[in-house]
Amino acid sequence: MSESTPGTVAFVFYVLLFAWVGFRRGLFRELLVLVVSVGGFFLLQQNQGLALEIVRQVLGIVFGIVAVGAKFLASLGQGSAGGNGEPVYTLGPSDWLSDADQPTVSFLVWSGLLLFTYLLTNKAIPDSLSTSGLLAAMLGVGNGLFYIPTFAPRLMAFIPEVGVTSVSSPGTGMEGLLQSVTDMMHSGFGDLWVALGPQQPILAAIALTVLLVAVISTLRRGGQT
Amino acid sequence: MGLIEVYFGSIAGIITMIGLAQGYARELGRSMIIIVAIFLLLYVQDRLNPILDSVWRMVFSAEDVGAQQLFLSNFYLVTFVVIIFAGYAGRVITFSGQQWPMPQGAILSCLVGAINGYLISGSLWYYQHIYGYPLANLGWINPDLSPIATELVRYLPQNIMPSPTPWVIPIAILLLMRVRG
Repeated sequence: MSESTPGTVAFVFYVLLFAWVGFRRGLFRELLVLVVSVGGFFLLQQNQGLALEIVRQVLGIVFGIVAVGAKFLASLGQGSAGGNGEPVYTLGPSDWLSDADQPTVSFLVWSGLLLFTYLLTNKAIPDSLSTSGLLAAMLGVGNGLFYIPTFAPRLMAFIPEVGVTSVSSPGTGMEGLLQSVTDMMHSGFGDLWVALGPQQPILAAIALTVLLVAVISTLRRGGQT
Repeated sequence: MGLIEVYFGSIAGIITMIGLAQGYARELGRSMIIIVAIFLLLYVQDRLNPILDSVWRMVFSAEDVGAQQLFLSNFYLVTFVVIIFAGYAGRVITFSGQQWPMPQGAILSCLVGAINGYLISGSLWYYQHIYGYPLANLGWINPDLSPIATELVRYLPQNIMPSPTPWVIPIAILLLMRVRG
């Protein structure tokens, strides 16, 4: 058993987990999540300043409402509706979020968007529109693979002294992400591929067959093309 | 002359586009033909090469290794292209049923087109690679492989499945599914 075996097993479990999630949720839901996760990630990477500005504006509105409410409550406590004119809450969103926070804000927006898409697609798309099957499982795996280079480097901060070198540190922009994806594919699939040894050709043939059969199974019966 | 991976990548891209335009129900039949072509050429290659070699020596009476490699690679290249052309131009085996509507249908068409593109351009690249890129003598391609191309060569269809036997698996299963209807 080589040193990379535990990592390979963990990777296989991770892939199987997302395959199961994809199978349960169905093709259409997983497709929407893939579009939002990949598209949203790249869009936010390219427009980090705009994302920060939008978040500031939204927070500004929220803070404004809170400030007015707090002022009103304070005035009620003092017995006069107009209050004493002293601002109760003076900290604005610009004080919270500096320009240096752009990557963090973009990542948080993307994570929120992703979570919202998962929840929304679960509720809004009926099961009849999102068919389960091999392709759905494959899309689920695709989603899972995309999350590794986006989440894993950030999670490393919570696991000190871990000898994980297969995933790059958080990359800057698209180049960093592509590098992380390449590293991840190489360490995950590469180790798995090497572990297969002489069975590689047969398993490659089976993988090709399963993929084609999965596509054929989507052809609806009762009609001719 | 651009990089060789761009050259063959462009071929794969064009075939993917054809797949998108034609729809995956048709493309699946072509996948079968492509896999059969790969199987046949792999199966006959070792048996046919000595015969082709003899023919070459008989006709040209020359010891020019470069020209001989060009002859062999072109033989397989032309044979493969003829089979593929017949698959794309003539009647193909179709699978009964209706395709999924947009957008899932388009994505599946793209996927099957990409598989066909990989199989076709990968095979064309393979028959250049194993004979030492003889088309470079004609100035058609750049034989200097970049690091990416060197890595990609490992993943050409015939390098992943060098024996013809595994190729029988998808052919047999797809035929069974076609017969079952």
